[in-house]
Amino acid sequence: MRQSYTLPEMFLLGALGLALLPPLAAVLYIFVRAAAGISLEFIFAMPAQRGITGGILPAIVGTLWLLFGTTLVVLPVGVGAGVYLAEFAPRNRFTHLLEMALINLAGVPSVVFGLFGYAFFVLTLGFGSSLLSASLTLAIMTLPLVVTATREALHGVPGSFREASLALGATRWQAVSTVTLPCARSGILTGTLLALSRAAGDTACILITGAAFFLPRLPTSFMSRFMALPYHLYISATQLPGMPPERIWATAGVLLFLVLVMQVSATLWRERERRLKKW
Amino acid sequence: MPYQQKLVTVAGYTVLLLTAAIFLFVAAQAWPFFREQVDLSFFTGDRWLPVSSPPTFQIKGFLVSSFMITTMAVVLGCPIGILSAVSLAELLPRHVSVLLRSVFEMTAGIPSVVWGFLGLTVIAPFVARVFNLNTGLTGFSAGLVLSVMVLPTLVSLADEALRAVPREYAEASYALGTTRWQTIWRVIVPAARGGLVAAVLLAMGRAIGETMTVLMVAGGRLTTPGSIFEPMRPITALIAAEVTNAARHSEQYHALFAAGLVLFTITLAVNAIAAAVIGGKKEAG
Amino acid sequence: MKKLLLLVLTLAVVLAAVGCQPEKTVIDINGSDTMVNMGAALAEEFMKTNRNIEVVVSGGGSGTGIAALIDGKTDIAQSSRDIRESERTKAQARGTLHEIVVAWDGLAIAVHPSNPVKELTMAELAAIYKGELTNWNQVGGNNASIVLLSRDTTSGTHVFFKDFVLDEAEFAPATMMMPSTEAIVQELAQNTNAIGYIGLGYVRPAVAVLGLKADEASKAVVASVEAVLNHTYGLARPLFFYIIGEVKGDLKTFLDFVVSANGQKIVRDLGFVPIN
Repeated sequence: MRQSYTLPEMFLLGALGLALLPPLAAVLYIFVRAAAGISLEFIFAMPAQRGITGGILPAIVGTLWLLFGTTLVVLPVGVGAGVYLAEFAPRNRFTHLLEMALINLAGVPSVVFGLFGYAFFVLTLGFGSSLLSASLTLAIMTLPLVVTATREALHGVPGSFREASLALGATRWQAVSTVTLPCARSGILTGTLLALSRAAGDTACILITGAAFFLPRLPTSFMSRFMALPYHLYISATQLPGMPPERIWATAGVLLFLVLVMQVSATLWRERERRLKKW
Repeated sequence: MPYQQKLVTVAGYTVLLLTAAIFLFVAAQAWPFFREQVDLSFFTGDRWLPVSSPPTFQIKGFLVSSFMITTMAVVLGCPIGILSAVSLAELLPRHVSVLLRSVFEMTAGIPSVVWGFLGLTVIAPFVARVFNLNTGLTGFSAGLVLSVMVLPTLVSLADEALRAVPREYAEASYALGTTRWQTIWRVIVPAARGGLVAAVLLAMGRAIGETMTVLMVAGGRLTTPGSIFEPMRPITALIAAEVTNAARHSEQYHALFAAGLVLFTITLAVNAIAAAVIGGKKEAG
Repeated sequence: MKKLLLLVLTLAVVLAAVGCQPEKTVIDINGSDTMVNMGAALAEEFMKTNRNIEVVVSGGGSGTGIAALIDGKTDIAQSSRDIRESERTKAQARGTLHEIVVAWDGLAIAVHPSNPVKELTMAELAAIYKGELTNWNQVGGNNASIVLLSRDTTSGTHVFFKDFVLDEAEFAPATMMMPSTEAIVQELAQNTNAIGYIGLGYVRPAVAVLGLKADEASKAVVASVEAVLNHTYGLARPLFFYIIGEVKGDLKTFLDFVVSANGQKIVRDLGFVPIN
């Protein structure tokens, strides 16, 4: 069937174009400007002269460490909470309260998480400005996204699967762990990956919990100080005198590339699994 | 109950505990400030002077700035966002909509520091030239960038709300001989009203909480701005700029947590209203 | 789930492999944005010859550094202002407080190169920042309102300027608080009506530096390393390292390097004024 549109409908489609244009133009513009500054050295070398020459390896590795630390915390807790909400939570006021808490946590601005992380992890628990403090803060920030993704993915599994497995004599936990959870796997992974892409780009949290301005060494443990891509972009853009513009654009380009790769692979994975699923 | 089930239950409770803990912890850090504060000047006053002696901490200017920028972002973003959502949900062929939804989802992931950088280097100079302003680092530039940033949230939620309207409504409408245009505006959009309002509210919540973009682009004037075309500093930027500067348990430290508590409370309220709008609609339906 | 586990494990192994380096002592430097570049340059040079010592530099402002020092989160606080009495009391509660002057800095008053105003008296400068003079034509310039740029309240430069130039009066409400000196320079370079104060290390051809006069009768002096060295430029200040506790071991090695000829050459290269 060929679609045909009336004039006012064209106007609606025009609005859609207007909505898509700025972000797509932004991405394209950044990649074009970044091209001049990207080289193997830029990605794989240590920074020198406060970042004006050399590469941004510590910032890239720092961000990977952050993602790793965030995953270690958020995956078990987030998936666990999602499983609980979808499969075991009784329908009562307490569960309702829990759902409300989840919605509210998702709406908290990242700077408030940063404030909490600073006061609690950095100062009160004495973790200092470290990968640990920043990872834990980012894990809390991404938690509601992972919980919601898990719950939605489990809700997407037909109830008959669960019932069939229970009818075969499985316990509720067995039904969840061997049937519904594996079926919901792709949805959970997609959601987690999207949540992590948020963590990769977040600046406010790590700005407060303490990314380093300049540290030409790679982190060695979770207690290490670290550089991170988004914070490096922030200081390159606003604080470093004599920073060549193409290097700032290149940093923006690398950060954007990392985030988009995570987003695109999450989306592609979901679409693939969607096509494979027979229900 | 197998231990695994106990574990996931604990994980579930963690979410609730964490939300309460964050709120209470921020409130506890803010409490010493409010205890000393005998009147409402914290909210109504216009002076933020942390390094003067004695220091003064008043946040009206930051609240007004947050309000101005958020309003501008939502007012600009809303029409475009909702019309886009209508296109996605009702006009375009399914496979095109699916693709475009993914594109929107991806643009939601563009980090705010990247938007801030673009705002600083591209948008602010442009705004200064077009409006012949003294400086481009104004609430207007920040609002402009934010209006683009809230679009993905707005579009995906509005799109969801529109698609949640039962197909039968549209079919019944067509059966009465209406055009697609009439069906969209007289049947589908009114039926999705609650969800659309919630989408706008949640986009607003996102805009209020946005930090890096406004820190980099809004200009950083510490007092109440006279108009959107002046430099200003929203409350998120205030916190990000100053919190690590304040020695623990100093007056400024507690004042910043008080500001954080206010921000927290505002976003909670916006969320609660959105949830009530959606919940109320469900009960009515 | 297994695939993901595998991915996580692989990443863990890779990171662990990267992490298998000998233990290093860490010296944490935190504070002044004016000094953060200098600190980073000193750290970089120092680490070339002391591979077992890690010097981490972060900025945020002098207040940030001193707060971190008091909270025990940093070894060295870089500060472009004196430690305040209240801060000194808190710091001394934790141990002996050491104050080391590592460099001097002139505070340049800068405008857009196209601005016809070339010099100001200290009184005019103060009046401008207090909001008493709001138009460039009041100081012999174009008929255009003055855009005031200042560093954030977290900055030692902000406090120094407030104490020294404004005599502790408040900045005009319209003042724009910028997150860093570099942000001020960037705005000055494209805003024909702006005025800002910046450390000598940040001066570059994109901005014009104004001459300063003590009063109408005296001669205008433009900020420069020489003018600070021979005490003819008024807006000069020492830059400090603050340390709590005993200075020994690696910390002492680093401090010795900073005040050595090699260290002071870096200070000079970055546009600051060496201590001797």
